[in-house]
Formats: sequence, structure tokens, C-alpha cells
Amino acid sequence: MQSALDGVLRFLEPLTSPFLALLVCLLLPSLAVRFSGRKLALALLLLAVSFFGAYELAAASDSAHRWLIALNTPLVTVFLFVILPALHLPRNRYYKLFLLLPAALVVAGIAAIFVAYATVPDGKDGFYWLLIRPAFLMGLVASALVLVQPFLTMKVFRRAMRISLFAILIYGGFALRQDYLDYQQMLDHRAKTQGGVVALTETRPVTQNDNRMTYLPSAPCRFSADGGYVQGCNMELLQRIAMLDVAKTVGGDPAAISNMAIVLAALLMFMVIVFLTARITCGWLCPLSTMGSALDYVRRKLRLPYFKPSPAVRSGVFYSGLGLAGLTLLMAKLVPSLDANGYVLGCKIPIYPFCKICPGQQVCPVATQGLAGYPPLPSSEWAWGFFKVFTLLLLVFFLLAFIAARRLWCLFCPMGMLSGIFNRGGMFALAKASGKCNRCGACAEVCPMGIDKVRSEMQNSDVSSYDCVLCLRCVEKCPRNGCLSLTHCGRKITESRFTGKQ
Amino acid sequence: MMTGQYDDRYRLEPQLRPAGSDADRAALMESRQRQLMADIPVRPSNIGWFEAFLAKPAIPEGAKAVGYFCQVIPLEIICAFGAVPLRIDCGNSAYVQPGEELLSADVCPLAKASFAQALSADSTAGKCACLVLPSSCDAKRKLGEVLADFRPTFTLNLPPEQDYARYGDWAAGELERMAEFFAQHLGAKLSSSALLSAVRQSQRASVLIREILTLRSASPAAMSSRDLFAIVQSSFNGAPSKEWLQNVERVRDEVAAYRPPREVKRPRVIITGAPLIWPNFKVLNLLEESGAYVVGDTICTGSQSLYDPPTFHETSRKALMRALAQRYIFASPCPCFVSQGTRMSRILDLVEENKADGVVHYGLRLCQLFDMEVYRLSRLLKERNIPFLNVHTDYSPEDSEQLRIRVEAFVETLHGRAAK
Repeated sequence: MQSALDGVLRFLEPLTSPFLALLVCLLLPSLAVRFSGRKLALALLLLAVSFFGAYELAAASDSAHRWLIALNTPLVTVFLFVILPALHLPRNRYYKLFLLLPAALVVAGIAAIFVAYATVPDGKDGFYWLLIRPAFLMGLVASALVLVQPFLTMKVFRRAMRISLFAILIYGGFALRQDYLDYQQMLDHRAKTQGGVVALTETRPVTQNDNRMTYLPSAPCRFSADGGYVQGCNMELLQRIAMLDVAKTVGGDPAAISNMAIVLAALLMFMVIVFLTARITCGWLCPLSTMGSALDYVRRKLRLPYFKPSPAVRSGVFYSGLGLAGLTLLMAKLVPSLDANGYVLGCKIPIYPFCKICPGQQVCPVATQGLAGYPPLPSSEWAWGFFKVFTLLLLVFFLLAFIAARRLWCLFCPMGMLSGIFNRGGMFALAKASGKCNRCGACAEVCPMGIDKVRSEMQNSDVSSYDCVLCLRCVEKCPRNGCLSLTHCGRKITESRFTGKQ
Repeated sequence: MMTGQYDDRYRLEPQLRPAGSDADRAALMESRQRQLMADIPVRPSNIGWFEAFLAKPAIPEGAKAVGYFCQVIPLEIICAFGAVPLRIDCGNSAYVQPGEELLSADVCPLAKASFAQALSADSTAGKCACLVLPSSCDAKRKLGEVLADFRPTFTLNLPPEQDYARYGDWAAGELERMAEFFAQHLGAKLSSSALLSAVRQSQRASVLIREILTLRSASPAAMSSRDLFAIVQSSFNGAPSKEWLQNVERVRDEVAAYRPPREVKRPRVIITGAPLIWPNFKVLNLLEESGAYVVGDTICTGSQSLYDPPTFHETSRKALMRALAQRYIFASPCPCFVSQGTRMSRILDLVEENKADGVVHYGLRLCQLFDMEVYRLSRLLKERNIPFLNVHTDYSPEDSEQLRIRVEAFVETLHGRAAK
């Protein structure tokens, strides 16, 4: 029985490969244009068969198979079978048929929780939050969102999505565990103050990696107490790349070579994710911006005005973010040369230097543990006080920017900068039918990133821009039906429609 | 003047005109138009409720009224002061002649007639606490100054270009200045929650008008465009009130329920151009009597005036003022701006959306702004093979029969396209 199940899972393994998701998305535009109905189904079948064949061919080599498995994630399966159809299927009466699948996944997810609770050892009855395997959880959340979407306005849907992802990313570390055993391990892990992760006051240069490959474009700080449910952010990855010990790797040290291989594989995976999602992760997923938007929401409800930065201020903010990221990455480059006391050239440098000043490391623990979770500040000995000053400075800027200037922070955020590289030329694009535009400027007014291009562009239909976080507020507020739209793989996903309920 | 817009040293004593014969002739013009519209085969059952608001609107007991010109004045601000907005630009040909005597013969009929009507005893403008008009053309830019002798008047300056990035804050500032003027003359304060509820009210009006337009496009026989114009223009006096919305909902339901007894294929036209103000529906009369369906318009006193809603994200007073500036100034299809792509786009879009067979332009004599745009419009439409007719006329009913021949001939040529 068990071996039969393993056999089935092994056969379906290619469905969890990010390369399949990439391939499908790359081919979708041409599929959608040229074929319809039965031909499309046939094309997809052919695609699946050839991908399965190619995957198995590559998996025939043991070392290649190890890497393929390492990159696989059930998120891809959920993306292919729930999210992608929800985005692309026409909303006609057959759409309800498709909805049976997410409905089944929701049922399966809930059943999985009951099953996990049923396996709790005797005498340990009690409440252990949600015991659920990550694959089921992803299926459950994505399916639930797909199911409720038709009943919600875009504003409410976005809010629902941001809050549920915030809960998963910030509280998931302790609230969502695979089973009872995993839950107990997590409690032990928490009891050992910051064990295995780098604290703000970490003094010894130890890099402890869990060798996972999936770095989210924007994520909760995994260095916070409950970090660990998901892998860290892209800046963590970049620092790992910077901290690679080149001398050891060239010298043929097996540990260093393996470390480099892991980091480069993670970089490849990250590129695939960013190509597929662009900065929609900033607008709909990032827990830091969700916290910031909560501050922004309070300001709006108090009917307070906001600070509108001039173009000079905006580029100043952008380049200071870029500069600080560059500087801390240079420091990370020095990490392999640190001596036993953590000094290099007379300067004391911590590992993961960017994380030391990033407000994420300060606000995420506060979100889970209250003010008691606020980590102690680095002392002045670190790089002559650089880390102390910038830790505080960036925290103040983070809070002020979100309270008073909408998403000014997101112009500064290096995570966002990195996620935006495929904002133009990626899978998602913001499109404008300029013939329907009345030039009112509502899009420029509501844009939290202060982008004017959506308003002013009258020649080209592509109005994506590097700063855009794809929050779709412009699409939601545009009073002209069909003027602004979001496209995915060249197909229209949603468009502006004035209903008076925005 | 407290606002310091006009030079106080050269103010004149207003010379009112006795009501008398002008008013009688004006009433005759109105009743003539009512009679013409009584012949429309399918009409909303509550059209009488709307018609009552078209001329000589009553000011509720104890309320103050603000007289205004044009579509670029945000009525929401007037309503938020607790005042009643009353439209005082005049479409009645009876006042053109007296206006010529007062001002000049070479001013557009709208400005002449409005001025003469305002100065006649018992006029709507005379009952208003103050007046407001935009600097949307040369005539209006100077009309404010002559009206200021008679009632406190504010001229709302418009930006020369509809460039929100460049002029957005400036225009919102001009609206604030207008609000200050209202605060002085109405003795009331502007509360942003009142402003917000007024904005929501006009959003509702937009939703309803769009629903009606969609229904009419599918089944134009369900409702005459003249009735649509009458319904829209009734909202100009008192802004889209709760009762107005309820009545429009009823109209919408009736239009939705309408089933034509048999299928009739008539040419579908889009009308664009200068304002058609009650009771001057001359061009609409001619088009409908010649057998065309008017399925869409970009007329600032027609469905276009309610089509675009103000949209807002933040509800601070400043943000709401910007939202109103966006909707009323930057989305305006008025040709008074340096470049007017919005109107061209809207015409082309309307033709496509409504599968229209032709476009009719109503040019008001002596209005250079619309006249100058005909050059571009006619060539753009020709490039796209869309039949175009320019009807150039004024308020007087005298040329109706000459125009009828041209309009009938144009509609006749469209029949071939409509049959396809």
C-alpha cells in the first residue's frame, strides 16, 4: 500500500517542478492565441507528456535528480492546478465546474488537520494550533481564496489575501506545524533562545543554513523567533552569495562547493519566481508592507493628509536604499575574512550585515511577541556604531514612511528593487486602453508608489513600470470600464469596472 | 468684492428687466418643446416628475441656493454646504434677443440668453445667494464680471491643459478658493463628511446612468434620448438627490423591462458638440423625428455629464477636493483646454461600443471652441469611414426646416449601414 502510494507520488513528482510552471507560463500566450477548446487540451497534454519525459530523463542521473528534488515545491502544483486556471479560465458557467477542484482541496485540507490531530499521542490531548502539512496548507489557502474571489470586490479580496498571507508568514512558524512531533520540536527550538539563527547581537561568525532553495521575494524576517516556516527573503540569499568563501571553493573544499551549489540553485529558483510574479509579491504578499498598510489605513481613517514626495526625494530614497544594500553586501563579502573575534581590518562586522539594519528583523518579532520581542540593539563596537545608528534610523524611516507617505518605504526596500527586475517583460503586465482613458488622473492619485506613467502614457498599451507593486488600486479605481487591465501571459485577468462599490 | 476677483472701483448698478413679454415667450418655447416630446411613443411613466425640475425650480423653504454655469462646477461642494445648486445657463431662445441688446450680438447665444435671463425680474439667478461660473471660454470669463454687479459671483479658473501632474494641486486649490467664497456668502461651513456623502450620491447617479445607457444601447426604442437629456438635466437643479435617484431607478427598471413589439432597425447615431440646454433640444428633435436613434453623446449637458463619477481613495478634505478636480476638470470633455483628446477618444469609443452608424456634431453659432475642433474630428472620422454631419446652428427655431432636410438626408444615407 505504502509503496504503491510512493510510486504514484514519484510518478507525479514533475508536477512540483518550478520548471514546469515556467514552461507553461512561457507557452501560455501562444497557446491562448492559436488554439481553443479541444486543441488547447491536446496541446497541454502533449506539453505534459514531453515535460514528464524530459524530467525523467534528467532524473536518471542520481546527482541531477537530487537537485531537481531540492528545487521542487508543492506550491508549483497548487499554482498549476488552482491559481493558473482561476486566472485564465473564462468566467462562464463552466467555471463553476472548475471550482469543484478547489472545493475538494479545501475539504482535503480540513480533513488533513483532523487526521494530524488523530495521530497526536495518547494523553497529549490539547490545542496545538493547526497541524497540517505545507502542501495541504498551500492548497487549502489558495483554494479558499479562489472560491471566495467571485463574491468579493477587488479591495476586499486583496485585503483578505494580504491578511491570510500575513498570518501564515508571520505566525506560521508556530501556528502551522506538520504534526505533533514537529510542534514539540518547534517549542524546543523556541526555548533555546534564537538557536540556530542569527540574532541582532550575534557575535560569533557562524553561518547555519538549512539548505532550502525557495527564497520568497518578500518574506517575514526568518531571523525572528518563529522564523522557519518559510525560507527568508531575497536579500538573505544575496548576502549568502556575497559571503561565499571564494578561496575555499577554488581550493576544492567540498563543504564550500556544496554551499555554493545550494546558493546558486536557490538563485535560479528565485529568478523563476520573480519572473512569474514580478512585484505582485510586494503588493499582495509582503508582510512588512501589510503591517505598513495597517498604519496607512489608520491614517486614512483619521482623514489625515499624506506627504507626497517630489521626484528628487523619490530618487533620493531609491538610491539610498540601493547604496545601503550595496554597502552591506560589500561588508558581507568581508565575512569570510573575519578573525576569531569578528574583526577584519580593525572593523567589527557581523554576519548578515544587511539583516542587522533591516527593520524587518525588528518589527517581525514585535508582531509575534509584542514589544517584549524587540531585539536588543547592536552595541557601538560594531563598525564604529554604524549598525546601531542605521538600525534605529531605518526603523524610524520605515514607520514614518508608512504612516505619512503611503508606500514610500517600498521605493527604498532592496527586496522590492530585486523583485521588480521582471516588472516589465515578465509574466504580469499592466495594460491601458488609452482610447477609453478620460485623463482624470485617478490612477496617479491612488497609486501608493506615486507612479504617474499609468495616467500619462497614451501611446503604448503597456503601462508597467519598475516601481509598480501591482496592487491594482488604479485598476480598481479607474472610472472607465475596460480602460486599465492586468494581463498575465498576455491574457486579460481583470479590468477596471466602475460599480460604485470600490 | 471680498474675493478680490473683480475691480470694485468700476462696479455698476444692475439694471433689471421687467418680466413681461420675455417670460411669456420663454414659457411658450418650453411648452412647445413639451408638446413635441409628448409625441414620443415610449416614455418613462414618471417623466413628469423630472420635467418639473427643468425650468423655474423651487428653492426649499429656508435653504440657500447657488446659481452655477457649466459642467465643470462640482455640485458636491455646493451640496456639502447645505445649499441647493441651480443651473443658470439658459437654453431658451426667447432670451437671445434681449441678451443681444444688453451685451452684444457677437457673443454666443448661451452667454447672451443666460445674462438676459439672469437680469429679468423673478429670475432663478436673482434668488440665489451667490453665483459661480468657470473661465471655460472667453464669454464666460467676462460674464462673471458683469454678473458680479448683480449677485456675488465667483469665477473658477481652469487650468489651460488637462495635465493632472502639472495642474492637479493647483486646480484643487482653486476649488478650495471657491469653497471659501461659498463659506462667506452662504454663512455655512464645509464639512468633509457632508462632502463625502455628496460624492457618494453622485457616484450612485453615475452607476444608474451607465446602466440606463447600456440598456438603451441594446434596445434604443425603450427610451428617447430627449427624455434621457431631460432626466439628466433635471439633476442639474438640486444635484442628484435621493428622490431623483429613486425616480431614475424606476426609469431604469422600466427601460430594462421594455420589449419592443417588433424589431426595428434604424440608424444609430452619436451626438457630440456644444451644450444642448432645455428647452433647446432642436437637434435631438430633428434626429429622432428623422428616424435615427441617438445611442450616445458626449454633450456636457447630456449623459456625458453624469457618466464619469468622482472616484476617491482617501477621504480627507484635501483628497476629496482633488478627486472632484479630477472628475470635473481633468476628465472634462470641454474643448476649452489646449488639447482635447478625451472627447475624440470618447466619440470613437462610443461609436465602437454602441455600433453606431454615424456621428452628428452640434455646433453652436459663435462658439469657436467647438467649431475649431470640427476640423480634427471630421478628418479623424473620415479616416475611419464613419459618416459625419456637422449641424451648425443657434437657439432660434427658424432654421429648423432647412436643417431637417440635411438631417433627413444624412439619416437616409445611414440606412444602408444600419441594415447590415
